[in-house]
Amino acid sequence: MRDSREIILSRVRSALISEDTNMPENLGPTPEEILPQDADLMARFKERWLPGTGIFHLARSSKGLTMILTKILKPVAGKRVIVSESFKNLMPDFEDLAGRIDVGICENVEEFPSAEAGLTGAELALAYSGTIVVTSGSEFELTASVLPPIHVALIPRDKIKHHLGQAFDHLSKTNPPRAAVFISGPSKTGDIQMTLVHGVHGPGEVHAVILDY
Amino acid sequence: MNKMMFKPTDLDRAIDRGLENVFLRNAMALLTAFSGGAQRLEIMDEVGGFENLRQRARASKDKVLNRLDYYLEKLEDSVQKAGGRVVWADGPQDVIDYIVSLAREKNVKSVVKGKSMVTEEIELNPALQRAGLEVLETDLGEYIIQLAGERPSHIVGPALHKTKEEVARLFEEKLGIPYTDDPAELTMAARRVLRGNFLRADMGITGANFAVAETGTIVLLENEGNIRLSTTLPRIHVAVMGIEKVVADFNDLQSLLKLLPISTMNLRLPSYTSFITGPAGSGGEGPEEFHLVLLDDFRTKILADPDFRQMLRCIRCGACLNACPVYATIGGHAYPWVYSGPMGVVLTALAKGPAETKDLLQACTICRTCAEVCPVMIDLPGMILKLRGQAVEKASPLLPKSLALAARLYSTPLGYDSAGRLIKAATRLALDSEGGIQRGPELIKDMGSNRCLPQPADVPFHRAVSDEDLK
Repeated sequence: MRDSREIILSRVRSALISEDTNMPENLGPTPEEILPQDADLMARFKERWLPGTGIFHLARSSKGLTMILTKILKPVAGKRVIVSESFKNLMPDFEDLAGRIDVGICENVEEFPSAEAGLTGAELALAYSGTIVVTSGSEFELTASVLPPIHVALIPRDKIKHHLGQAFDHLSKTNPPRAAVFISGPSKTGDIQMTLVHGVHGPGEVHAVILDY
Repeated sequence: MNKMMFKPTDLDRAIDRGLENVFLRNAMALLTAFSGGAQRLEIMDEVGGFENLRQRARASKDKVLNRLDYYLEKLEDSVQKAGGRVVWADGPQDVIDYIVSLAREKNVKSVVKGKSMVTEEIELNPALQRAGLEVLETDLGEYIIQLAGERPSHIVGPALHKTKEEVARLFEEKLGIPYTDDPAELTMAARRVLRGNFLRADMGITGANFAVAETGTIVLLENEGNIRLSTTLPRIHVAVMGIEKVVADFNDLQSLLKLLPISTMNLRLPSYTSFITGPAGSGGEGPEEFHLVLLDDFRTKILADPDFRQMLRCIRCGACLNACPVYATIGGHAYPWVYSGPMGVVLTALAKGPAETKDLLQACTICRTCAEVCPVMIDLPGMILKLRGQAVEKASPLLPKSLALAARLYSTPLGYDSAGRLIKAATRLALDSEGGIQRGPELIKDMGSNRCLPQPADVPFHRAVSDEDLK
């Protein structure tokens, strides 16, 4: 493979010999959607999230959050869920709730494949495209958001940013994560006769729970 | 060089099959309708408009292509700093050899694959299977055609040529499930089967939509989630990528990332966009090892040709396929290689040579719709015309010179007059008294079957009117 490297690079260099290398190095910022100063990012996020068949909830208090989770996890009674580090930080008393609604928490990775739901936080959300961003920075966030058939993400309202450029700025600050996934809705496919089906490999059901308290 | 699936002369038969397949044509019509339209433009107007965005996307690509050596070395350096390994592959066999030897070294038995056109280009799966590896396509469409032993018919929806009944029979036969033609049930069956493969696979192989040189990050877009699973669960991740997919930095990435999902499927972003920088290492959540394989094959050849270098801007979005009236009518299987539609015509001709693809180059009406929708402003029709010229020259090298000579002679007074007399005699011979064509080649008689031509004049215009008359 060492030979291939030199072969390829020398071919590239001879291909470019007569090149005009006065290309502008910095193309400047890419135009972004323009919103008024006082725009409600949460409303924009909801507007763009819903058509992708994601489900939207707003928790105005910790009691509200408990009620929302109780409702979402009703079908998971008697089963287990994967809980990421970021989720635990946002809802430290989840274990109590889990006990009350008969939902088990996976103790180790061997139990992950049988989990019915994955509960995570999110690094940020994007209003422009209706997107939530999970990263490798929080333990089990990547796995919990792809392996089980249901994904629930808690997002504090102030983590909702507007557009892609802001997401990249945020992620490139100190300690950029090894992996980040921009999630814009449930897993889907149209591969069989162009019929839309959800939940082919990733979760078929994804909940964005905005925390506004 | 890989063998073509069939010789160019089989193109007519393939086209006939495509034309007869009414189901396929309806599917293609749906695809075209779905991807066209006002919604696309509205979404792009939010961010400065399609023209503006694609000028920028084109500039992002040209910037890298014009200094490709610099950016490839930068990418290599960044990936290595992130703990990944970079492997350069001159041709398809180098990719195959590397992956096979890596698999042997690391005791890999089972591989899961995300959809990757470059791996289909080099026919990776059969080679890995011959080396004793279990290789499973995990994209639903690719999984279906793998089970059926067929080729993809569209770069985004590879199994769209199959009816749901055909998929139902296929799953019944190959997976042993009770017959159902409900797409949701069929999809869930595939999910159940493939879940086991994801969990026990030792290696995940994907392509890469983009690779960011500045940080060593690869970007993978998908809707299903199979790429996420393939790049999170197995202990080794191998990404295979053409050298033209490099992007300088995240700023340049943005216009491309806005245009790709909208060109493919009218979305601002697909369900999942993964940004992966190196391995997770041992004990981390993700692969222990990350390998990036950079493939040249015919790409530096294209880079060296100023007329065709722009083809390397292609981001494999499929917009040209969805726009092309020829593709919509004949379907993807009529094209001899893994790439179909307008980009397939050009790339196949550039990779295999215009003489070999002379017939394929005719599969275009030069309507220019593809050029209008291309997010990186590739002049596909212009290149097809140039390639046709090259194909004709190679096939009949004397033809252009002969035509030029004939034109020269025809412009002399004697040449013009003699040619005129010859044409008059031939026309008089061919026409009957009413001006219908009664003698001549079949094609001419067919064309003239409901036309009347006037009889040629006894004295031609250039001799009837003198220079004095014209003053």
